[in-house]
Amino acid sequence: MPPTSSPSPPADAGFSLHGVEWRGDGFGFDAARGDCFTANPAALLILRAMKENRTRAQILDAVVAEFDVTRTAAERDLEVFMAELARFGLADRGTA
Amino acid sequence: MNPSPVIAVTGLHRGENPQPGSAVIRSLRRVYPELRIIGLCYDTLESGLFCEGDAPDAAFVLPSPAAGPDSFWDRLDAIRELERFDVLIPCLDAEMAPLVEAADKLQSRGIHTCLPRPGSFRTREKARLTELCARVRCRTPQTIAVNDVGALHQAAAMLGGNVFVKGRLYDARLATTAEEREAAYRQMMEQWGAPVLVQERIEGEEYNVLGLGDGHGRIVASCSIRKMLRTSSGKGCGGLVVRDERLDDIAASLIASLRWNGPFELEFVSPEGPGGDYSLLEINPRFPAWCDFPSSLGCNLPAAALEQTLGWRPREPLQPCSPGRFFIRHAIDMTGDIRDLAALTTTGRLLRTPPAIQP
Repeated sequence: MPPTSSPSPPADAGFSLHGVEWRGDGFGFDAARGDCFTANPAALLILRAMKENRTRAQILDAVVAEFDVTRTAAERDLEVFMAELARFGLADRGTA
Repeated sequence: MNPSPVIAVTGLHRGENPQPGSAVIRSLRRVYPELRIIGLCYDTLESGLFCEGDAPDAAFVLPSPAAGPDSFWDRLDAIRELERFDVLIPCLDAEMAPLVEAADKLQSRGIHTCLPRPGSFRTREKARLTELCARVRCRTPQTIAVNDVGALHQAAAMLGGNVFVKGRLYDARLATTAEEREAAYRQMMEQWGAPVLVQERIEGEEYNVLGLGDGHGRIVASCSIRKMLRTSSGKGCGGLVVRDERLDDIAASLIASLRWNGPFELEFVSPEGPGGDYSLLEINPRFPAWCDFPSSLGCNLPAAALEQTLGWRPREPLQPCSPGRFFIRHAIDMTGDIRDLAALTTTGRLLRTPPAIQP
């Protein structure tokens, strides 16, 4: 029987966002500029959610569900993280 | 021409500020292991002469450039009596201008080269870079040519004080004080002659593009890197392959405008951060010391240059270099025997592999 929906990519699969190739282990490489980045698990979860065009509220839901953090703290951390991404030209305008 | 051409390569020292010759030899042997390659050196202690695997089959000492062009050509003729080489690949900046201007002398001797035309060569000189960049709409740091200390300080003041002092052909020093500027100026003037270039400093990451021009305005192939692990004098001792269409477009425009023939290295600086513009620092008219790195990735430009020079069909296709591959320079000690040094010093010749006997 054919599958009814495409399977979700494995959690450790790589993805591309704003010109940066992110590996499942949190290592990012911008092939045009030669910049390298590392993302911790929370940052990687947020980047992956951005890639999937999730809303800010959905991203916060995912962070709170995955990590031991209050929504208030997660909101504050997300704000800081988005500012950091913007500094490197990696922010998703719709999310930031 | 020999049935299998003999190749002469210069610039064989790979100590501090490594020269490109040994990397050119290594690249050529990757594709053409049967080639006979001779080294032309200016110093008997050029490390590439003693490097297992990369050493030339024979080496000959050339007179110092200070001895003048007649000595150079006389010595070249004497060497060709012993080893009738067919192709010359010059790898040092100081050699380029005299050879580019001596096409007739090379041709009359049957020596093949892969050199730019004199007009192209002069257009990319450091003192004329602003003019070239304006034509192709490429940024370049403001550069002022000076011939005396007064003009040096005046130029530095105009450019914000924190400047690079550059030699006419080679070398650059970052100078932030008047004393540093003067010291750098005197060194450049003594070594490379007038004018000395004073260049605005643009802070950022350095990017280099190594390529081969076909002489009709096209780039045969190229490899772009971001410099890693810069030395105190700004030399890169590591590089990471990048692929940026903006950088490729600038390189294509420059080479098209120059109708460049032969190897080149474009040096750029770009401010850190997203979307930083590339500013052209200089165009080197030869292979750089890192030219074997792309060869190890299948983009063998020295072999392609040889094929272009001799009108050969490529033996191996040129592959694009994958972003993310990198090199790091690693210094090791070469060993030699005093007998080799003695041969080079007393006869000006070192023979490792005897030349093939021709019927």
